[in-house]
Amino acid sequence: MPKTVTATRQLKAAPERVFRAWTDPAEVKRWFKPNRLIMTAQVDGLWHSEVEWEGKRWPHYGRFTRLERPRLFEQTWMSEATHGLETLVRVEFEAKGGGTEVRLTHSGLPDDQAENHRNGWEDILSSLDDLR
Amino acid sequence: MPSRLDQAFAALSDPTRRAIVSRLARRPARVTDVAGRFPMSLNAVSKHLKVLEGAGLIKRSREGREHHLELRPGPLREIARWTLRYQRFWNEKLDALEAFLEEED
Repeated sequence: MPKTVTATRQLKAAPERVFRAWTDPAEVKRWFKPNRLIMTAQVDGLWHSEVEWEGKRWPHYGRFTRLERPRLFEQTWMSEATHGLETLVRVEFEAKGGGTEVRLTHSGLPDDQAENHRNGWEDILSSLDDLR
Repeated sequence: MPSRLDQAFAALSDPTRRAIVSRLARRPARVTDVAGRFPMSLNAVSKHLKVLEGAGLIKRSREGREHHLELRPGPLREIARWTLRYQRFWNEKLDALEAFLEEED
């Protein structure tokens, strides 16, 4: 069964500003902090980003499937973690409380183990160090 | 997030408890062996063990006068799932976005 992950956040900035932060490559570079970013933010535009996370390089690839400024966008998202499956990231921006509520939905994720732990649980435990 | 996971995360938020789990990940051990590794009283170590037991991360069994401890990997397996890692990934990115937009104010 594919899984869905959601995250929401209330921000002070207006939807138009937050939408730009997600879809203008120069802006995305400043907070998403990818090692590399190539992005054409239009429907059927392709994107690539490589991020550093938990001490590892993660290349991601995808395609924009919806852009409705400043309300929402959707993009497909493929990486090692999706096992080549085309997962979908949808980000919605709703004007709320003088700012923006961001709702992120990442769907179609494979429901499996991150690694097979041949060396025990050390990797997980060291990644949990970030939770402190 | 299910409460069992909340408990597991909370239990693992402490470095001593992570060290205990690390130790038990290699092989089961006696309480006295585990306690001997930490510069704290047996009583203090016992409190940490209770938290780990409560979170379902370790199991204690008794053999005569000796208490044995072993790891129960269920909650850790769930933490390792991609879905949870993505949950953390996106929350970290939203933190970064929030900080970026507030710097501008």
